[in-house]
Amino acid sequence: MTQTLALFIDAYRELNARKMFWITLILSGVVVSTLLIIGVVDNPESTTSFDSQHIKVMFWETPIPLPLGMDLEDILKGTFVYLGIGVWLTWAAAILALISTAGIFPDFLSAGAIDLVLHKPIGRLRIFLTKYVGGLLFVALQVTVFSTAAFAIVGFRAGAWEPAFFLAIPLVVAFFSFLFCVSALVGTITRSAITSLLVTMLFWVLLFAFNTADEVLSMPRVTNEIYVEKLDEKLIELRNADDANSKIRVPVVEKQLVEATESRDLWRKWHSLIYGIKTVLPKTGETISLLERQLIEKADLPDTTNNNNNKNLPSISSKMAAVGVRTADVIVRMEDIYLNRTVTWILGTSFIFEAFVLSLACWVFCRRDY
Amino acid sequence: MTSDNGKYAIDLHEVDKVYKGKVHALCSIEMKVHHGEIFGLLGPNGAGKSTLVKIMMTVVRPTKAKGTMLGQPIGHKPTLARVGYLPEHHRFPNYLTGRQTLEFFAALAKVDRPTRKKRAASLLELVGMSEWGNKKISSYSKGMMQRVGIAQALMNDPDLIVLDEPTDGVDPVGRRDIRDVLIKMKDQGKTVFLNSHLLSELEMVCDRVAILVQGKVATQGTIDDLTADSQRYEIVIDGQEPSWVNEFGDLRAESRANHQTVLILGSTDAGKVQPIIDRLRSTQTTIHSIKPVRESLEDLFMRAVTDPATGKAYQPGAASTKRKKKRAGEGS
Ligand SMILES: Nc1ncnc2c1ncn2[C@@H]1O[C@H](COP(=O)(O)OP(=O)(O)O)[C@@H](O)[C@H]1O
Ligand SMILES: [Mg+2]
Repeated sequence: MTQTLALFIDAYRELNARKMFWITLILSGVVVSTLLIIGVVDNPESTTSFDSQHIKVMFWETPIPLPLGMDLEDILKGTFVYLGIGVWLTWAAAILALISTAGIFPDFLSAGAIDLVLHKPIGRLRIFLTKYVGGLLFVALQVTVFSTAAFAIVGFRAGAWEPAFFLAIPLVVAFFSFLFCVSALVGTITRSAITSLLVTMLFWVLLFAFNTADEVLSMPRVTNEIYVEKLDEKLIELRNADDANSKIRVPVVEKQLVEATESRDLWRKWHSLIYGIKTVLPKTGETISLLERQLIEKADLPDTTNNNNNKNLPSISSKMAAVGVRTADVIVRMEDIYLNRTVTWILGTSFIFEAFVLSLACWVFCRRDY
Repeated sequence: MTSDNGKYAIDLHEVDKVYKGKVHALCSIEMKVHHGEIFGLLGPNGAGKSTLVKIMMTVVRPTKAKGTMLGQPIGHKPTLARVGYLPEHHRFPNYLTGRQTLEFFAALAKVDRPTRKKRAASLLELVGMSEWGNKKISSYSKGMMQRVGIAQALMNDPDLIVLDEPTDGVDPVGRRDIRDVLIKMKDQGKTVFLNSHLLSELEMVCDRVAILVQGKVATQGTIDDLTADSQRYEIVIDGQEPSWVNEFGDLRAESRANHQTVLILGSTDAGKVQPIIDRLRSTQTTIHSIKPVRESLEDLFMRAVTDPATGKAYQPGAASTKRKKKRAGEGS
């Protein structure tokens, strides 16, 4: 216990000595302060109820009207979710955190430093894991400070004390740990902070690429699936019909069905491949979506994620439209795919990945001669 | 406490280490260190001294190792709570102060908080760093780091202290201070294991030494024992070698500059010198000096590291790089 505590205190001191920790904390403060300066102002000249209220930044009224059905509380909570978590914690701050934690293992393992710790009466495994958890301290402290500040500001300003804000602490730390384990592994093997940072960043880009591929491929897959279903229905309908006209169209539709089935299977194959690869990789993007969904639900926010998705509408050919493939159906079914990915799948497979990478790092750490 | 410490403080058998890349750093090491003594491990650069120490400290995993340290098998982690260690070229976290460093590493050795505080203060005093205790490690000189390093090795009040090149980069005053600390530790009944290539230093403090060459123990024992064979009397006289030298067994002559000659008697028996003096006086020969001489640790060392076949020093270590060759050359 004495030893573990000492290692944690040391981890804190190490962070404390890094300028980056304080820079990140100050930037966090800047981001949180947007919650202080955003406000709502009544517009007395307005005649309609639409723009009776405007968003205000400090003393300046912006021409942006308050979206319908929203009040100050929603605006503040929305800012926390989309700016605070979506942009700051999971992009900018995460990059700063990766940069400043990339050196932890290489420094720890450098000649002359590691000897001082290894010869103490603690097992190597325990040293490694404690050091790892200590490395997560950076993000844990940042998120805790950030969420608590946001919780307090929204509470005081809008009177809404939203405990769901604190959900950000475990989920953002989990999100970061999926990347940090890679940093720890590469740092342990190469003992180079730069290499470890670069590889981790590349890995993150890779995850991002797979995520995008998953999204991109799900659309033609779903579209073709619906198309095949509709053609099936159509064929049954035509075969059951008695008129000559229908009889003539049967072979045409049959041919269409064969083609559509082929193309559906092709898209399915590719999408399943990407899905399979994604299964073994950590789900950083989905972990954050999970957090956002939870916050939106718990905090009673109007869900704007759908609007974002509408940017890339599925392209439906006239042939598909002719048999009744509708954009709305495609969107609903695509969303279902994501909603059907359970918390267990998202977090479970990610933690399995983390455990695997950590075991590898531990194995290297415990077997090495220093 | 001493009852479970085993017969020897350190008792190594068949210690072997082959590093990745096939560097055979240690080869069947047999070594015994008694309780309460200062033991010196000598050897040229790359001989495997640090490797041996690191194996005992579980920093390096041995290819093969039998034997005990403080009565427990090598690699037994809990025993390390009773061992203090100063690694070679150690690097403390530079964001800590000297005092924080001592307390941090003591905590890792399971020393409780009040004891840590108390010992940090007294050990800083002992190594002469009291005034620097609250300054950051990053502002320390090499010698100061070494002093704090030694204090660090003593924080858990160890029964066995292992120091790898403790006087590395330390000025002569600092070296004397460190020697004094080591002797103090010995007086407190602790065992000290010292790695060094600075021979005169070891000669002054060590009870016993081992010489390691190319991963093998060339010789070990007390300095007295190891140099006993070489003990002799040297008599310096004026003039040529006397004709009667051969009449005395064990006596030989070597001529010197300034028309002087040295008579060397291969014995330390003072009785055997007297007839020679009588003979010299009877022939009116001037005697400049008569003194008992013994081999220094350096002579011993040089003998151990010289290949009898070629008469040259062994190439240092298992691996032989140019740099190391040069460094070993400087020692000779
Ligand atoms: N971590 C390591 N990996 C591979 N070889 C090593 C390692 N550490 C030391 N060696 C090699 O082992 C030999 C002994 O080194 P060392 O124990 O440091 O010698 P000394 O302390 O006597 O100077 C040298 O040839 C060195 O190059
Ligand atoms: Mg060495």
